[in-house]
Amino acid sequence: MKKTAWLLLSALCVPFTPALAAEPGAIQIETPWARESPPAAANGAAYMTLVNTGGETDHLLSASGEVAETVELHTHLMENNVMKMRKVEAIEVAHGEPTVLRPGGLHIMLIGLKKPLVAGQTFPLTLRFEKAGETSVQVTVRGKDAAAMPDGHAHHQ
Amino acid sequence: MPRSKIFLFLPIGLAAFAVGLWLSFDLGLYPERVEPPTIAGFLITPPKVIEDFTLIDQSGQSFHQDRWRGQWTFLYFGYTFCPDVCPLTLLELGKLQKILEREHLDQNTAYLFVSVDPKRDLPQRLGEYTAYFNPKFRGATGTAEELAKLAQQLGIYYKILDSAADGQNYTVDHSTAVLLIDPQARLRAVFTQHSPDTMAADFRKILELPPQ
Repeated sequence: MKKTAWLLLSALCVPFTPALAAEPGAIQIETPWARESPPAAANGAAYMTLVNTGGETDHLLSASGEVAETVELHTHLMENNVMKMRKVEAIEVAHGEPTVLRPGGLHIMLIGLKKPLVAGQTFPLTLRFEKAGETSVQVTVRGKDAAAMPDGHAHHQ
Repeated sequence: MPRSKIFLFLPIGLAAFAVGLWLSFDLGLYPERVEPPTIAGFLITPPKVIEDFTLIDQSGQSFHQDRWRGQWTFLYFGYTFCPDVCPLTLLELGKLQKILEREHLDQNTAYLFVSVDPKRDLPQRLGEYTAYFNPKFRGATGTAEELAKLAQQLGIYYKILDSAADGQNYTVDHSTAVLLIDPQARLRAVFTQHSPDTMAADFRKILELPPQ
């Protein structure tokens, strides 16, 4: 009898469990893209918008893929009109506010491209999140005139 | 003083003042009657004279200061291993060239990308790289010493973070400004905002200024 009560109680609880923050899928990845690489360019960058649909702050810990020798998480710091690109250990993805990886800001740095990035093609990247775990995305390569700075050149200020 | 003398000296004094005022303008004591325009960056007045330097252009030829004479040069410092900011700025400069061409202001302009990473950016690489952004673009680099000498005169900062274990995968901190060199090979302006429309508007304002 006691057992049945517990079962009932737990069944009742299920609908009230908050959004499944710890499960894969709590992070939505929107429009992963990269700009085609100029000839002779050895490196590239991938961008995307990360939306946390769960309740808890998550972190992008790493990205990996066959596209380049090394894949790292980077950011740009603009100090006195000097651009400093730095590796970051993780990228925070808080609930409620999308984390935008974009030109001039946070990006996934592709170091040592194995072959040039060609507009129209796609390549896979595996993203590893602290809570949401691993997920794979297809990154679309856009032409050189792809919207460069949708944020209105904020990084040049 | 008798009243008649005041009537005599007052007009003479006023006339002398007027002549003096006229002379002061005419002799160029107030040469900046034209208000300097506001640009997205800094207008350098008078333009800054730059000491000669020796770079190496994309064909492997020496590139001296006299290559700047007789035209306006948009100058940008960066490196081709830069994945993001350098291509973006060069794309913006490419659009600027198209705007100026449309407005027939492009006959007398040049665009130069100077790599501050001579170890990895060999001349040929620079040629292929810059041509991708715009056929008018040219690339150059130089010895660490010559690059430092030129950059310092132009107020350009850069620092190679050469700490990578393999000595290859390093990044470079660098100023993102686009510089404008005048036809006398002097620094005329620094653009800190790279929207092609803004740079085109600022360039038009500078062209309208009296020659310096």
